[in-house]
Amino acid sequence: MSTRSRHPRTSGAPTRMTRRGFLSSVAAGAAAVGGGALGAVAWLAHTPARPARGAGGLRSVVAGVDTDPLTLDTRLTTATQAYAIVQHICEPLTFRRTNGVVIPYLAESWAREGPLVLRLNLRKGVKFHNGEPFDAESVKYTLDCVVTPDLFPKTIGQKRTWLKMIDRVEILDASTVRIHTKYPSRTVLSYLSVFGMLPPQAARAAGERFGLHPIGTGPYRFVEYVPGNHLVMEPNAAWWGGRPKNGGLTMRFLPETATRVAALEAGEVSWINNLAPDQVPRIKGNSRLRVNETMSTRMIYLGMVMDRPPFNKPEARQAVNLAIDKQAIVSRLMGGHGAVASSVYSPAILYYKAQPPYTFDKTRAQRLLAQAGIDRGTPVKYTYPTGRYLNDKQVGEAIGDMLTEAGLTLRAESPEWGVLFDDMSKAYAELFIIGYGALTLDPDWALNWLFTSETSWMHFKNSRVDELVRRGDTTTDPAQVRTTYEEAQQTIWRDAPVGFLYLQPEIHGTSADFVGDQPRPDEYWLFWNTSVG
Amino acid sequence: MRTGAGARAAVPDGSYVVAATRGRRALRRIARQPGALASAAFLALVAVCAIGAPWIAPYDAVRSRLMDRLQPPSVAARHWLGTDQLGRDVFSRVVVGARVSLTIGAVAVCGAGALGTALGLLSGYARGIADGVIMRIADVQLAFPFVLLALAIVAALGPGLGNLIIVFVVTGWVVFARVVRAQVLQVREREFVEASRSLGASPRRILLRHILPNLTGSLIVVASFELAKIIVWEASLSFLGLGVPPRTVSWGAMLSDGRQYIDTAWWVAMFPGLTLVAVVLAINTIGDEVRDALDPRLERLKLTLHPNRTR
Amino acid sequence: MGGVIARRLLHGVVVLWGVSLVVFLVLRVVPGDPVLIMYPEGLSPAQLRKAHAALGLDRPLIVQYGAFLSRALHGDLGESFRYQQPAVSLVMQRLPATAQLAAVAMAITVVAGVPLGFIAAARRGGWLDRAVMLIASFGQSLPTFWLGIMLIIVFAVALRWLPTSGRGSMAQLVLPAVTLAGYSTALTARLTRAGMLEVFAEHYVRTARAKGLREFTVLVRHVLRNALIPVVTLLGLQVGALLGGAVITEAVFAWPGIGLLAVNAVFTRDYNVVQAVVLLSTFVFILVNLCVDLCYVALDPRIRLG
Repeated sequence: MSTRSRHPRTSGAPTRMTRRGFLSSVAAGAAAVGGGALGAVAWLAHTPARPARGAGGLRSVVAGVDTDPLTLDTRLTTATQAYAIVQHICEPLTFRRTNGVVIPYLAESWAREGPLVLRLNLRKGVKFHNGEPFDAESVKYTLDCVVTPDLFPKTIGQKRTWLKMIDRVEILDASTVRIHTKYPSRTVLSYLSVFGMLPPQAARAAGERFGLHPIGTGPYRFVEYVPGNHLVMEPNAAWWGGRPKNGGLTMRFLPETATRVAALEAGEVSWINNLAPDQVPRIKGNSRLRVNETMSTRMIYLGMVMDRPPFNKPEARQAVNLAIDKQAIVSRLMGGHGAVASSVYSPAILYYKAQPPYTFDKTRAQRLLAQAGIDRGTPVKYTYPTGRYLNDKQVGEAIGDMLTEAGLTLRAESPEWGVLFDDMSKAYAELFIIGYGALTLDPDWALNWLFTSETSWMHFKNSRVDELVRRGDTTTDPAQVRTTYEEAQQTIWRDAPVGFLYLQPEIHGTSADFVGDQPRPDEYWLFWNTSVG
Repeated sequence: MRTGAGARAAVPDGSYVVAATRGRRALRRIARQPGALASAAFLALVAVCAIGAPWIAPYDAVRSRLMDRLQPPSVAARHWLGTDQLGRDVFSRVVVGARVSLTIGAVAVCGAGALGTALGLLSGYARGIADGVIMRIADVQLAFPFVLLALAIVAALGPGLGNLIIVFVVTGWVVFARVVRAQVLQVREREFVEASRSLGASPRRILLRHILPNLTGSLIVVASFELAKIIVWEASLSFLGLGVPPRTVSWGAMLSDGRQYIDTAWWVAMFPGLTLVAVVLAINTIGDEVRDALDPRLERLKLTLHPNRTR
Repeated sequence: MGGVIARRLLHGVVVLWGVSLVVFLVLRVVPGDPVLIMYPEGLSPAQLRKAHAALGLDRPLIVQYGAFLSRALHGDLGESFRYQQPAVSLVMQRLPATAQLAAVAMAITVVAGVPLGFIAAARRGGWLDRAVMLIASFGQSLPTFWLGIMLIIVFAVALRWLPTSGRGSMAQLVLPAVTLAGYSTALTARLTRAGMLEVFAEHYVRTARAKGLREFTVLVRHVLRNALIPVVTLLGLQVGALLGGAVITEAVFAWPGIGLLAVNAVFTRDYNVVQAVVLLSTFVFILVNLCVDLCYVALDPRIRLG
């Protein structure tokens, strides 16, 4: 091509390319500066507060938590962990030991004045963080918010159910209240343990915004809450329970397991919850870290819908319990943490009684399933969650395989939680995995939802069990209560509306210099007696 | 003036000839590049694995064996790439996973490509209202965050392989449509198209014989990039919990499930991850080479830059 | 010019409305009851009904949409079921985090991607070209979450050079921004290279040279401007990609932005928050594309936006 020789480009001079490159890079640089300016503006516009450093020479505890409490208003909390978190700021009238026994807290003592009347003597000299005195007025206000529908309409309906036994609250004097119940209730004191007391003046003034800046009587004052990021609290030197042993508490929300563990390993947090069993050997092997654990009350069940085939036949339900090698799940998938279910609920819950185990027996399971005459052609729908419980996806798959080997044809699905929840509440799948525990460590909580006719997702309708659960709540004689719940457990265990699988472990990872971590079966974490370094 | 077949002969029909020669030249060029060659060979290998998975995989890729959980790679124990968190052989799962990952990618790309091309052709050639409507829909589509759209589709239709493909088709057609439309707008102004139209050739003929052949190159390039993107995004959707249904083996799901074992049982995530990266790399390399090979302007540039090279 | 802008804005409004309608319908059609999800420990049917009524979820869809529209036009997008806060303020609270992340990621994309692409184009066919293209391909083939987790393990845990997660200091910005920028940097490099190569071969460049114009004039007035067009287009599209990739990055690094907020909101069927996030990101997207279109006009007077 004759034009070739005339074009400067064809001589292959590289310098022109460089100059072109230079100019374009200038352009790029300008764009970058623009972008950087944007970023700087965005950054300056909102600089989040640094977590508060220790007061009084004590170091602050920084904890990595997997769930966000969403709100800090005791009337509005829904997430399980929220109760533990709120307890640091707003305290309940009663609390409980790890064996479920109710102990005094803001209520110093109590006495029954009749089958329907309970008198509470309140702790004297306690003040809210804003100076308001804690007295009968605050108790009445808080409980009225839950019990009376109109005082604070946004109260979660479920909480009203927990206090359904309360008729009214009567003030006797500044430090005494009388609670009148609609029927003799054994559990009123244990249900009171999940409601933090609120200061009436401040709560009324803040209205629905109270949860954004809560005020209570607790060992910590609220400092800052950025949803999805962190929660900061500082110690309350005037706490009735003494002085918190650390200089403050910061919770960072780290939902992704790998990130949470990395934060612990990098020393950015001194405590994390929900350590996966597979991570435990590694953390234990690290001399700078420790592992603490206990058994949670959360039991993982395999729900079976009972009002249609195949699980309307008791043999099929028995077969399911025999077909699953629960020991293998606990020892292999959970690394030996947790425990095989030995009754309808956890040993940590009151009035527990061990039941004759459903030992893994594949042959017998196969025989029972054949006996039940299940149509192998129609697959049984089976749903389980992913990312909700420890190793839930693996457990779900393993169980699916075990059931298939026993002779069931399954169609497995693991949709996201919203859909899954919807499915379960509508009994879409005949088989589903659900985990349930008791926050109050009381069998009334453990049995009421899954195993009573009105609310059972398995459509378990056993009038005897309904009556037993009702009786368990209304009897106060301990011996009678024990026999009631033991019979309830036995009946449910035999009828097997669910596969009784295993108890989840509650595992914490901490730094080696972290003192005072005590995992609890109700999955509460309490930090005022902990310290770092 | 002649019509029909005669008209075809009368107009110097550049498009066919150019496209054909370009295609041949492109293949020759690609065959000479070592990178492209290696990529093609690798992809062929993966395809063979995908097709022959049931025969190649030594173990059952789906059934759990809790006894063998998280075994490290070992030739002696017959698990060359180790076992995963449910005791399943990683090598078998990688091989079987090829099927799913490649199928999702291929079907989704074909679907998105077909849909996008059709809409792009319509939009670019017809212009007017059709163009406006289609482009507005495309805008709404693009403005919609991908993850939320995926979430909505999976939630509405249920988890399933087909529905996952639908997610990618619904979100992927826009690129194709836009590229095709841009090309159509360019080409329709060219002389031979004008001439053809003035001779009375129907729009369909013009589309098929003049415009489409010129699109092939761009389509292949876009398709290759989209294929790569889909295979990678399948993994990201698994991470969010929206991926393939249980008991379906895919590299993305393996990568996502294995992420909590990266520092303890690294083989669970590493091998599917490496395979995924390698496959995507290969696809991108070939796409690059095809693109370079088919662009006529680059042809000219190459000639001017390398005066010693002859045709 | 003003007419074009007006028309674009009108289009934008239409798109915004369309998106809000789609989100509204999809959320209510998809299975999953926000009330039930909030109170997993069981509600009696009566309580459920009351809760639905309180949130206005029992009225016909048209009525609900009408109520939503009338509120939305006043800037009120309702309250978050989950957080018990107004959806708009929740989104505004988390928006700076995502904006910061996206801005820095965009800056990295431009600073790293454009020059890389340029070098590759300049040394076309050479080893540098191949090396850059290999790195770019690699960057495009890594799933974002994997890249993020690997970076955390290497730089935060093993080397301890950087923090693992969260937001607060500038150091905490580095890893998430790099993770987010990975894919788009690679893409930018490749497309910049392609764009540069096209420009080199254009007729008008040769014509300008043939006319004997000074090299500098040629470069600035012809090459530069036209080369920037594809780059600018790309950047406009990247905004959408960044917002999408931000979700994953935010999940891995516990970065409190709107991406994570949106995903959690969809999982818990927090309708109002989802609506707020989608509308906001659509708005940003439209705005950015409008700017892109305006840049076109500035860069090349031949382009008519009609």
